[in-house]
Amino acid sequence: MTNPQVYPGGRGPSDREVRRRRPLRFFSAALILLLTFGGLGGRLMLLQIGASGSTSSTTTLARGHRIVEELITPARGLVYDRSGRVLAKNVAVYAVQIRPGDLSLTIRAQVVKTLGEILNMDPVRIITLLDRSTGSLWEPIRIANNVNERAARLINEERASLPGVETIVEARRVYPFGTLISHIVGYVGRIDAVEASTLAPAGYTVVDFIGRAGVEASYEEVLRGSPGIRQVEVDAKGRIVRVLGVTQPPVDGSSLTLTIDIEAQQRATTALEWGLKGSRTQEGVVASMNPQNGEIIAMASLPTYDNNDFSFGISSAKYQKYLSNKYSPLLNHTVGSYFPPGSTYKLVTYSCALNNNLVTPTTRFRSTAFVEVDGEKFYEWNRAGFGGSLTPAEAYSWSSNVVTFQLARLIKIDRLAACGRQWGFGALTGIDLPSEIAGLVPDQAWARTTINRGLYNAEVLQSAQGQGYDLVTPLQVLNSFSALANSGTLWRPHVVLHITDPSGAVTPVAPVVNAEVGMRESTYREMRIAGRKMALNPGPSQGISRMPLYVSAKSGTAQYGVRDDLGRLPFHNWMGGFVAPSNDWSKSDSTLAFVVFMHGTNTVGNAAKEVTKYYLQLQYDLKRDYRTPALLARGNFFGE
Amino acid sequence: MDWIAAAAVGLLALTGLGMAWLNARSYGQELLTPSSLFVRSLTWTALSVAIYGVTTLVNWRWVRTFAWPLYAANILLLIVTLIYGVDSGGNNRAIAIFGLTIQSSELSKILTLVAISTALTRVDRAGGGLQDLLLAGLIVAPPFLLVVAQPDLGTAMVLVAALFGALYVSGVASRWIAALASLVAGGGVIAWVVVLADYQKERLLAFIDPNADPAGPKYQLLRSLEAIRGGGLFGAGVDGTATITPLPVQESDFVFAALVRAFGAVGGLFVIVLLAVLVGRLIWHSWNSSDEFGVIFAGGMATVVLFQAFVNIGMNLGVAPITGITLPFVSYGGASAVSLAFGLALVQSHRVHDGGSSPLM
Repeated sequence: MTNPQVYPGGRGPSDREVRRRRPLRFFSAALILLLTFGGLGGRLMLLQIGASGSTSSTTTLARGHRIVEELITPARGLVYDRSGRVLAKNVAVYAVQIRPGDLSLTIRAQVVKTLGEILNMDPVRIITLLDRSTGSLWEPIRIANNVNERAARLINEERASLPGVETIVEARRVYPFGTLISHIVGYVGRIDAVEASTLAPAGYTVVDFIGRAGVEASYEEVLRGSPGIRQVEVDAKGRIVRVLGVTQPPVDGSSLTLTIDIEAQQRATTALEWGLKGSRTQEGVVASMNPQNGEIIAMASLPTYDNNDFSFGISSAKYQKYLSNKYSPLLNHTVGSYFPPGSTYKLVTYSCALNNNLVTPTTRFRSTAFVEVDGEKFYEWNRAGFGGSLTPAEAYSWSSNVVTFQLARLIKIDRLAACGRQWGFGALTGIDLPSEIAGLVPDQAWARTTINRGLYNAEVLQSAQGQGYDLVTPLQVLNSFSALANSGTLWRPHVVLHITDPSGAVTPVAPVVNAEVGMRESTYREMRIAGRKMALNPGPSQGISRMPLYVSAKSGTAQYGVRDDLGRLPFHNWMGGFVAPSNDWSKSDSTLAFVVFMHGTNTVGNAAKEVTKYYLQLQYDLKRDYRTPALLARGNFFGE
Repeated sequence: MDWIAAAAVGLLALTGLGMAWLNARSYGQELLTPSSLFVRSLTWTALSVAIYGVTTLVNWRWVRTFAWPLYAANILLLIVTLIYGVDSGGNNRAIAIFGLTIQSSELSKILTLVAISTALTRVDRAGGGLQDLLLAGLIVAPPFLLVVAQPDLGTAMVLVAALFGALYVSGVASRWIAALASLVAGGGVIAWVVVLADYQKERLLAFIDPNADPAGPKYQLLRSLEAIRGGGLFGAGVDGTATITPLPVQESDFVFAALVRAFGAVGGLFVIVLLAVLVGRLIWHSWNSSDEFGVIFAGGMATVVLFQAFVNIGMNLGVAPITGITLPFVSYGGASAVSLAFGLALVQSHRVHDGGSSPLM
């Protein structure tokens, strides 16, 4: 049939006959063949019976079993107060999750029904959770949190009929002191799907928690630690048969010790609660810090919230209640809210005039009932003046508006703003708490870009007494009086004293100097004496003068909002200052600066002063009661 | 006609189709959509069968006649691939023609072997065959370098194996083969130091200790071994594997592990036996061939199939480095199956049109 002639190059000359056969070569080729395939077959059989040792330290996996990698969540670091009391700890709770890849579609309805009965959940809700998930089939989907132990045990017993369903034990945060210090400690919340993708490189998954407020948020990386990885053998139905090993051990989070002692925090809170109750108001701040190192001693912001509400998943109704409260209980007003500073800002105005040699400590100003600027009369707060003439320190002690206006005209707005910034206003203090805001120090450049005109003279006078456009946080006021007490150092305030890693090694949080105020020592001394004069002035001091403490302070009343029927404005009350160890005001050795802020008080006296007295008598354990509750009565508008 | 070899090829191709079906299910694909692994595999298998049939019937001497134009065309194709290649994971390994991606390196194995066989047929083997060796080396060098440049290390290794096989059966003296082996070994050392990328080294070394780094590239091997152990004697069955996480590249590199997981050691041995029979028949044909071309080409093809089978199954079993070589006909890989079908059919054609034997017997 074959005809070689039809093919080009066909049989014949180009088909070279084999001249010499080489049997040995073909015999060895056959041998190689047998050895190769025999070897492969042998290796295959060896693997099956698990006798191969060379590449497997993990032992045999039974039929249908496979290895999956699981993240090992590290234990979150705890939070302690200064005396070692636990402020945030972990407790174990059960949760139920489903690995969709292990739950075959054909039996899904039945499994979901059984699970729904055990968990007392609507099966449709479970199906929705499963179908809504966009992740891998092998990533577990959370079905229920805070499952009670009975249900968890039932699910484990019913494992055979619930493929893909697993119960896990996980840690939840519990805050033993709850509302008392929730603004500092904060809380953790589960991360949502959007965050999960952006946080994935850091090893977060959708079942993880992350700090949302307080030090839980600002020290998230420290508290969290780093997750580990383990390999587990699971059977065909997704149940863990055994743990094969930890490929990467988790590193537990470090613990925090706060600078705040819970008893000091309680004293601040007690004083503030009393003041708010007496003045029938809701919102206020009492905070104190050590001017020698920037450590926060106490920081109470009311109203507050219970951070335990968030640990177990806050109900929507409760969350709405927090959100709809106009006094913002979720916000730490010390760092996250700004208000006009009122006369506490006179620290800036008076120090600015002294330090720039516009006045001397002995310069005398006439105390009149009003000054006239651009044809408008600006009255002293008592509408009468204080008689005769006043030195700057005397004017400061009376909180004289008229003298302040005269200083403002000497200083001018841009220099006033510069001095405000020198004292740390208009900038973040950098405290180790989230959500801090910077406030506002107005100057001409700001006015031209923001309100499209220069500032009027009247507005400059307002700024000099902490009204108008001035906006500050209570923490900035605290930090300015701290800097006055220590002669010019603006610390970066901090609430964490030290960090303890899982091995027990302690790393202190070193005090950081944010800036120096940069004024002369004589200016600081003069202002400390002026504040002392204020505390001793029988009228404005409202009894602070009687306390056996070396207090130097400045009160403030800041009007805001809209006038009432009688043309009166509502106002906040302020008190800022420090307590010195001795009557030597040339020293800068105070260890406690404080601020008290009372929102919308409208009281007969300065409500912040009443709270200050109460706070100091608690803090210094004074036996006498210096409070004057009558001054918390509503009515008279005592506008310093 | 060698019906035993044809049956082995047919059964391997059927196994490949079965695995494509299984893998398509495992990846959760709609089975009968044009883009599913199964349908694409079916298309390629049909094409391979057609080429196998046509090539068997056509006299192999046509191919020998056009050996050099085909060789040149192949070099051109490799160059085109290098320049216009489809970027699949950073490598220029394939070109797309009419929507089909063609891995030109697969075809180069066969056409290079044709060229070597043609050339060695004409050389007088005096002096132990040093000229043979040099000539064959010169022929392999261009496609080898172009394939390395893609980079497709696996195919490059197959080319070298084919060269050795061809020289071995052609009767080149052992001392020259040993010399070439030393040269290749030296080149390998240099390549390791100079040419290979870190990821390639990591893959090559993974088989030595897969447990060292379960999260890294060695993870593939660990998963493969786990699947093979999980398969047991008879496997988890088709339904048993449907709900199990797919292995890495289980349609090509790790198809053997997937097969053992589904059909057990029995399924694995079945494939090994089929491959052994196929290689055995090729060696047998090389021994029985009446002319030099048949000896060399069939011997070369035997080496190609043996080498690919060994490296692929070996890497699944953790005894050979991971190099991305396909398992003949069982792995999904259109160009691989078509090229092998062409080469094996050429051997069939040689048998059919060799001397007095009838084409259909």
